[in-house]
Amino acid sequence: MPDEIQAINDFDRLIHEPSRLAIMAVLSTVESADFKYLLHATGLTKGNLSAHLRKLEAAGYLTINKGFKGNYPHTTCALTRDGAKAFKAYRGQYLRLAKKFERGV
Amino acid sequence: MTDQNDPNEIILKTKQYEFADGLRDIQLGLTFVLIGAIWFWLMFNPSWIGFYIKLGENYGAWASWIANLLLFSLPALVVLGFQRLMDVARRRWLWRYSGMIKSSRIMVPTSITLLSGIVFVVVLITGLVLQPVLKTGDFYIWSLITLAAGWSFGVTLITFGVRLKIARYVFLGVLGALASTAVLLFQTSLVEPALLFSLVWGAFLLISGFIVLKRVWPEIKVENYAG
Repeated sequence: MPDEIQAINDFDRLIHEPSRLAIMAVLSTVESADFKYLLHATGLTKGNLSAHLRKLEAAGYLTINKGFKGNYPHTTCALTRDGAKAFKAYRGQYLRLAKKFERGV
Repeated sequence: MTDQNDPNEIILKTKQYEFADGLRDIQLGLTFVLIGAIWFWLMFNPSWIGFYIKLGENYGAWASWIANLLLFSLPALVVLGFQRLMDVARRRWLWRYSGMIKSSRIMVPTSITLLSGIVFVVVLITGLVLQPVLKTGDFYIWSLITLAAGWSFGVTLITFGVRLKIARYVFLGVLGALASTAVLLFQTSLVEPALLFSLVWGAFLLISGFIVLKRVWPEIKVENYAG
């Protein structure tokens, strides 16, 4: 198998999915973000966002904190150390592959 | 690819979000003004010194130490107090529809901090090298330190603005650094350079913050991230 194809195979599939990549990108730059901000930044629907957050939480990439602000429910999400590490690794892999493609053209 | 599918764009917008309502500018501007005000008060109102000595005589040295500590921690207290106000304003109005984020503790990248440190040292060394050929006043070194601090802060703002694509920080950085150069005109006292430095940066940041806030406030939501 050519190196490039192998490199794509090696991508973390959980992060490689565009919606989850968007969520990880947001959370990689902040300590935490609430559900509303994630909706706003990713353009996902509430149901979709919830489903993706649950998947990332199950993988141990983020923590979901459900609480209240006044009388209203307030959900915040933050990357775990593993999540931050996985995102950094994914970004590195992606950039290396992009460079390879660029050289090829 | 839309903005919402481009991870780099998402990262950039999330970083800009913290500065899109101008409250950070106001917070920093207030800190500068307060430091300037304390400096001014200490220099022109020596009653503090009398009060300080009296406290020491009546209650012991620890009392005057605590009083001093309180005075100098005032800017830090104002920053923390303003942080609370910011949180409330954002939760209730500014970020009500667009969502809340908690920014990383270190907002300025290490490379920018390093660069501003280098600028500070280079300005200082250049000034010292040029001292013999310049007509300098008694407090030249003090003016030079203030100038170096002004340029260093200006470079921080410019590089930060370029990196985050926030044009007002580039403009503020250039303007503030140029205005800071005026401290070289005041080499005969300790007060004027420091006062000029704090008031110039304080005023620029406050004006910038209020202009941005005024622009986003009627919308009650922050959309123009680049502010």
